Amino acid sequence: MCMNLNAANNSLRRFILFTGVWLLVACSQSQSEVWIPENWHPSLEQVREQIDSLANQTAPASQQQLSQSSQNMADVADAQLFISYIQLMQRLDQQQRSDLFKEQQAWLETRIQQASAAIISKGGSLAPLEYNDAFIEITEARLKDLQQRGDNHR
Amino acid sequence: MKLSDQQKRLCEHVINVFESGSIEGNYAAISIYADGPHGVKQVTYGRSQTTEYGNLEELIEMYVNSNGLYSAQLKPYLAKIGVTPLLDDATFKQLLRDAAKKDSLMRKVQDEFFDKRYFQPAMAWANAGGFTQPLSALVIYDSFIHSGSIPDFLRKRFPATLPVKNGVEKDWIKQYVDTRHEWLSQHSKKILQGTIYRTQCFKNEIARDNWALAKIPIVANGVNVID
Repeated sequence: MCMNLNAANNSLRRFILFTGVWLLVACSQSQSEVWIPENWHPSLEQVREQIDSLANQTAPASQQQLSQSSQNMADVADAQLFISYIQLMQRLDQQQRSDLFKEQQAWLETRIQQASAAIISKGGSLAPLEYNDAFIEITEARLKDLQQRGDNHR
Repeated sequence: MKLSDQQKRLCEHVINVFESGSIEGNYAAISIYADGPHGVKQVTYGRSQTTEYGNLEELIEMYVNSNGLYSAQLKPYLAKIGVTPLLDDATFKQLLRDAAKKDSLMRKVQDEFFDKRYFQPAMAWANAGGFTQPLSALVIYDSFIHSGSIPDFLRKRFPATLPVKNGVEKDWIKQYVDTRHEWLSQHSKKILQGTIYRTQCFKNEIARDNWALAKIPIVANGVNVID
């Protein structure tokens, strides 16, 4: 199950990354054109809910399974944030895009620091789980923020 | 702390179940986690999981020097581990898996490596603290594997003193297990609550007075460990 989810996540990440890079390049060339078709709304909600459900199932999983599930959830949350970032970028003018890019760079740095600080079990097998949980929480907060700003720019 | 071969094996097998779900452990396990330096993703490998930017190089060096079936193919990677990211190197990851699955020497090297990295430090801590019971060894070893040590923030939450300071060993272990259990079971993250099967196992063994680990099987996360 974990392997299947990993493979699906990897394919999805590659697709989103390619699309995102293409969009960023395209957006930098012209702000007047629309780059994302209006009726295209990629969603990872169900994938995320399923991984979450598997990780919290009644039968306790091994530490390796729990850590892998938490990494999968972190990857999906990050991909969702990437989508929202690109969608917001499209709605901004040139100056706003430049500002958002810098803001996102700084935020990414902060995320690493905060997630690293959440590790209590340094050197233990619990550490990846602690890191990923903090990573997910921080990413979800940012996701809400960018989605809200995207809605405000409609 | 003097453990018989059987008691030590029992400790390792219980931990293997907690970590991998199997008594023998998963020597070929490879995971990719974003817990490397500055949040980079890294390869995590082996029965008790050592990391690319941690001690993986030491483990592979031990194996290469032991002239295993895959030593020649892994040798060039010694200069890369911890320097060049290897998480996308399919050949490297397959070599690690193959070595663990097809070469008993890799499994032997991993046993020696993880013994040195986790078991011996845990037993050194236990000896310094004045612990003598095999069940204490299991509890302390588990804490080193799971949390990397006996976390100070947990020790501050219970009053028992170490045996070496005239405390009562069974009281200290019982209070530590209870405190750890409470911390995990009430954690704000539900996924972390899922790890209380470890402390629940110890609570069960304390309840049936199995300090010598002589009463088998020990039920670890639903698995009967008999040896």
